[in-house]
Amino acid sequence: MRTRFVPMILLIAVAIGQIVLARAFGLTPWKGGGFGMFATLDHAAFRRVDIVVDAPGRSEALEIPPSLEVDVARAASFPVPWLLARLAEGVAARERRNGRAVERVTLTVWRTAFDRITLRATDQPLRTFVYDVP
Amino acid sequence: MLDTVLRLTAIAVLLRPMGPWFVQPALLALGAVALISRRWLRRSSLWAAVSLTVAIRIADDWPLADNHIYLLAYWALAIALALRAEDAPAALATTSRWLLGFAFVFAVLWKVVWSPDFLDQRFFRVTLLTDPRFTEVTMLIGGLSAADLAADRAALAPLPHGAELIDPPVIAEPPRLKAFAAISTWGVVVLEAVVAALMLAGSRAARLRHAALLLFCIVTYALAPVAGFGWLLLVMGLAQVDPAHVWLARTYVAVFLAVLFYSEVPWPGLLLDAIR
Amino acid sequence: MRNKPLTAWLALVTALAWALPLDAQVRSTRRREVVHGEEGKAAAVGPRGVAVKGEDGYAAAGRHGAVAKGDEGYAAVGRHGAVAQTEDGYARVGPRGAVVAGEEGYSAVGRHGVVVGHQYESYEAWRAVAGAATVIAVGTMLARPPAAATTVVVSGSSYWYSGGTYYTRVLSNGATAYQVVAPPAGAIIATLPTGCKSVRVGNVAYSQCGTTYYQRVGSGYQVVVLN
Repeated sequence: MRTRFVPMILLIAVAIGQIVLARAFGLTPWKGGGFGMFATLDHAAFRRVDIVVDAPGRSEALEIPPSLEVDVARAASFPVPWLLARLAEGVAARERRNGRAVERVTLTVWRTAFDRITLRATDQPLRTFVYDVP
Repeated sequence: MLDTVLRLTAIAVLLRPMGPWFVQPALLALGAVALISRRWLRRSSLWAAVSLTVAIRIADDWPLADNHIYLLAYWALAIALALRAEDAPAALATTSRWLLGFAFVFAVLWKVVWSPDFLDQRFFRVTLLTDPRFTEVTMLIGGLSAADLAADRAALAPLPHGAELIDPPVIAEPPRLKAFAAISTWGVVVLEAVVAALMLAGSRAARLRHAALLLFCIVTYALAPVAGFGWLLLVMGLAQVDPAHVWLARTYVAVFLAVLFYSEVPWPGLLLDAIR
Repeated sequence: MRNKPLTAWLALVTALAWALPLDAQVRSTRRREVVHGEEGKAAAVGPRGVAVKGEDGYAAAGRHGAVAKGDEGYAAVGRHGAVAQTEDGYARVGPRGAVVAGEEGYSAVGRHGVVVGHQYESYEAWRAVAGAATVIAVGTMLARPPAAATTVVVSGSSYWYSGGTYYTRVLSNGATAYQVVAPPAGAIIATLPTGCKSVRVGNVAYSQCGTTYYQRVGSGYQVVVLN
């Protein structure tokens, strides 16, 4: 095979893979090498993650600390179980480091949708993930 | 010409440092070495190392890397492979055409086929009002005051799922802004489709191909704050220029510099101040 | 001039004191008062608010918030938070965070963390910037509360609760509506909203969430009023 075809084949293969991940598994079209940037409002600015931690005597929603920002960005961009689990583990570890009880971490990924005519915005749930801390 | 292409690619890498600690210094060093040493500039292994380093960055950061990072990885690999070919400039020109062609094909497909909110102009209507990077452009072209824009941004903030206001605020969208959103929507799609078609049409449409790509870069990167992507597209276009067409090569270099100025000079804000 | 609220009168007097010379024209109707002065200055007060216009700008306050605009920029505060913009930059704050964007770059802090950067090259940066968003102010009327709202009963009165906001059912123009109210004392919620911190008052531990205090009780967290 002529090696000069390799970059083109790679581009096409990665892009097709990205389309599958975006259409079937919620990857934001802006990421993953499919050249879907500037094509849709479904991007990181309009996705967010809510975190709730539960333990005996405790149930609270948490703000996202800087140390977990990248994991949040990954989970929001691609809300699949393994990335959500990674984030949940990070949340649990941080709570334990700070001496706070945690038995369950619930993550909800939201996506903002805009009305076609009025542009009114509402948040819609994309995925909820529950992680029971071992 | 090939040296210019390689040097501009190295410059693009240096202008936008990227990646974690184990990627960024390596990339910067490779870019610097490419500029300093002509021998290394033409070494396939240097560009293979650039491609590999960028690929490591993509994998480490996955899925957060922007699309032009992927294109940089493919381009650096294309350079590495072309430098091993008998006719490196010709090999690189062909690969460049295919890479650009398919990148634009997928960009058009996303906008036209798979996006639920591009062709109905929602993407640009919302982006122009909410993205702070477009503030001056929106005020300049749309005629909105700063207060109007702030009020619109507040009105576009999402309500919790299922909630509805009784008296929702009206979003101020002047006719000029709506027109700009419409022009941007259809203009981008048409221009990208033209570039894709001409790139894949082969060597027959060379001049049109260059004109379309240059036009796309001149218009898009005046407004879209992603200079790194623009530089990469321009370098890839330059790789396709016949060495006899010096004026065309210089045009590519000039537009490369223009994109640099676009990214550094806040021209919409300056224009807005001048008009006020 | 009949049935004018005291605050509107005070605002008008204050406005007149700085804005208008002695020879101003006054026009009044039953529902509003307008005073025109020299050099474009004016003040008006009515059932929906107060506005003052002077040489260097204007200010207005009404039921949806307040705005002031001058030579250097403007500031506004309302149901969705606060924003200020000047030549040198932009700042916005809401319950989900704050963002400041200036010539040199931007910084943002909010539910998604802290980001400081010089270039908006990556969209990740824009995410943090756009993250500062909605607060639904007390008094806001909704046709429907959030889908995830739970019912909270306090002394026989039902409220709806979601994300730190409480709603009560009202009639508006003959139709059922939901109005945002201050957290009712005694309301018990299952999960604390974001942004709470632990405080001790005397020997009692509370969670302070903005201006609302919660005390841990058996079934959740109860709104308490501290003197």
